[in-house]
Amino acid sequence: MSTSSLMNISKLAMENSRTAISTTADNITNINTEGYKRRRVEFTGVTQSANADVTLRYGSVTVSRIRESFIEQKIYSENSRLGKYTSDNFIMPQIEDVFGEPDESGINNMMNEFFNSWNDLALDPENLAYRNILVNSARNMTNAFNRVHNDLQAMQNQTAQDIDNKVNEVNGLLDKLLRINASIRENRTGDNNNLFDERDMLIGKVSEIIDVTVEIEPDGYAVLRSAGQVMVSSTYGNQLVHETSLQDGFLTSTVSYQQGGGEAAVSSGELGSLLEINGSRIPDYVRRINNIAVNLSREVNRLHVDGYNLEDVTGENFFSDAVSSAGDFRVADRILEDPKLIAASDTAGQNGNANLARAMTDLQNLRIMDGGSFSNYYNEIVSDVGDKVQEAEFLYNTQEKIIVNLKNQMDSVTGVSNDEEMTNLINYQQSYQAAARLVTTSQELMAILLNMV
Amino acid sequence: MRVTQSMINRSVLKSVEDSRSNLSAIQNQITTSKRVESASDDPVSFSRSQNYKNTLQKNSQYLQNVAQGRAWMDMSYAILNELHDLVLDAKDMALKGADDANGANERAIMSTQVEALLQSAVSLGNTQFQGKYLFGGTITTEEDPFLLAGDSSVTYQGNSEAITRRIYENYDITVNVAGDEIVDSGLFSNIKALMDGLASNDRDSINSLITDLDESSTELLSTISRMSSVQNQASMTEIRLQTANTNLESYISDTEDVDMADAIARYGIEEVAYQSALQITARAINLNILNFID
Repeated sequence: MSTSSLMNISKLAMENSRTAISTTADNITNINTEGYKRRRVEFTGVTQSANADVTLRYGSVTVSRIRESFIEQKIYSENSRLGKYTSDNFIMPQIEDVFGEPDESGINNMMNEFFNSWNDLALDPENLAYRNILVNSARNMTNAFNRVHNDLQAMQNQTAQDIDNKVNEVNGLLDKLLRINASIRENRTGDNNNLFDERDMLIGKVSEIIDVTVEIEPDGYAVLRSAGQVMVSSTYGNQLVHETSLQDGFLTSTVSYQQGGGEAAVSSGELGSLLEINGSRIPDYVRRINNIAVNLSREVNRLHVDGYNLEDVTGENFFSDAVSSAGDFRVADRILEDPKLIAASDTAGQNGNANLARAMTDLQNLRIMDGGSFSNYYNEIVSDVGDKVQEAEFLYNTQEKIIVNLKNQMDSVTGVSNDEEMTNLINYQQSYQAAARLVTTSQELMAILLNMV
Repeated sequence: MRVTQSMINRSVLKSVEDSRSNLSAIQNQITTSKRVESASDDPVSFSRSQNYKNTLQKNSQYLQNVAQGRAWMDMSYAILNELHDLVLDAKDMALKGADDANGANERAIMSTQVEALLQSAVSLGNTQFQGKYLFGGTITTEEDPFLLAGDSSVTYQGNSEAITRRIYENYDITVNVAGDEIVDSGLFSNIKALMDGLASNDRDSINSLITDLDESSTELLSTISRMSSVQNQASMTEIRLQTANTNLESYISDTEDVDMADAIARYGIEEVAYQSALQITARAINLNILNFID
């Protein structure tokens, strides 16, 4: 064995230690970087052959990236659920706030006040003050209906806007992923660790917005599918398309695939949540609120039209005669202008007759709304919303725990540990020192050799 | 298991956040003393207490109706009693007039006294309560119920409609006595006949009017007693409604209000949990290998 080969192997050992130290530096630097998977240095043996004629076998060092594909897949699918519940948990309480129950200004109390006013009028049908109070409470009630209707409409249109933003976001992410896939494919043989980190992070973000299945090909690029429809492969990129239709001031969203056509089957993720709220929840609440307004105005008008007012005139409507939703629920203009036109009597020429006013108070007991009274039906809507809010909160909290556990499991394998890195650092430092000592020694050997001459 | 810094951070942060949010939820319950502030706090209790509240509100309407109806009835009752007293006064006059000791002159004087009785009867019949005629049926403001004509005959201008108050679901009580019932008792006609009989010094007619006035008195008494029985029903319903409302209020409080002792105990537990979470966080994040190597 030659002295120079000793020199060479020492040099190699120093280089390897330096690579190891720089990998440790990478790990420490990225300890808080999201999506970073720790790198590990793998040494292979560096030995000298016993036979000096045989060339030196160089050992090598490779840096590999630790991953845990089972947990990774699990995180992607749980991420979609977390996205859905996060969004539900954000929007549903806002819908509950729109109803604002129980509160004095809520619809429930306003309906009670409305019937109370009829009851007051039934006690004193000749009294003008009670008529004014009735007009006021009727107007307050219709205003409460209008407000809830308009707020729900604003929320519906806001969710359509949110859907648009989310679709753009997901399209951007898919686009980036496509480019990363292409780079990974081109650079098949090289070091793609950083690209892999980026790839996994993008998939994580996509999976928060829509539910996807992920396959990592042997070359390292990812294939994403949404309900079987390929969204991204190594060369093929698909996008989502968002369209809205406007009906009665309500924007309803549809999301479809740009290629492959058809409505996108997004059932989870933030987009899944938004589509459900926009497509069925808010429209359902609006439909039920409208139901109350339309039925209440119809029943009140049906009685009122046959009644007699203080001017002894019959045939007046109490509410405007074209109520089609909670949005256009209004007291008839003529009644607003002149409360004397409110009919309290069911017979002509009897100012003290309050039979009609009393029949109005009976409407509050009328079980025509799915077998319940108006307030039963309304309270059911509010408690339905409350139920959904509670459910969203519960699911969100549970899902958060699941995700924390999964991320911890993941980190347990792929996360950077300071303890480990610092120990390794000392280790590598010492091996560097040892290698350096080898160089000095071989130098001294060389000097002794030269002195012999 | 391999435990990294980020795992420790994530876990302690989550438990600190959870404790904080539990703590604030209980804090909120204690400060508002309400367990159910919105539907989502407890949808089932919310819907139950809303239904209780609606019943409570309806009962309050009924209570108001009972109270108002009773005022109307009390007033009618007092007037009817006064009318009955007038009938008795008239009967006294008839008895006196039938006495042979009295001659045409005395009877003529008595006739004017009876005319005064008739006038007070009509004016009592036209009594208003809260701006409305008590005895006009549902003609409450348009015209006087009783019109005293120049020949002292009385015409009824109201109708025979009942004024009712709803005092419970599908349960109405009649709170008025329509004027035609007073007319039918013969009160006005008999007093007028007595007045005429006295004026014309017709002893036989005066004699027969004694029994007629007795009959009027009986009929008025029966009207009065019918009214008291309605008043009775009203008081009983009122008591029942008040009891029901007291019960409803306590149900609402049971479903909505917070059990303070329980809430404060839970607050204590959560506080300990939160403090421990903070303490362990402070210690865990300071544990580091860098403290031990140079």
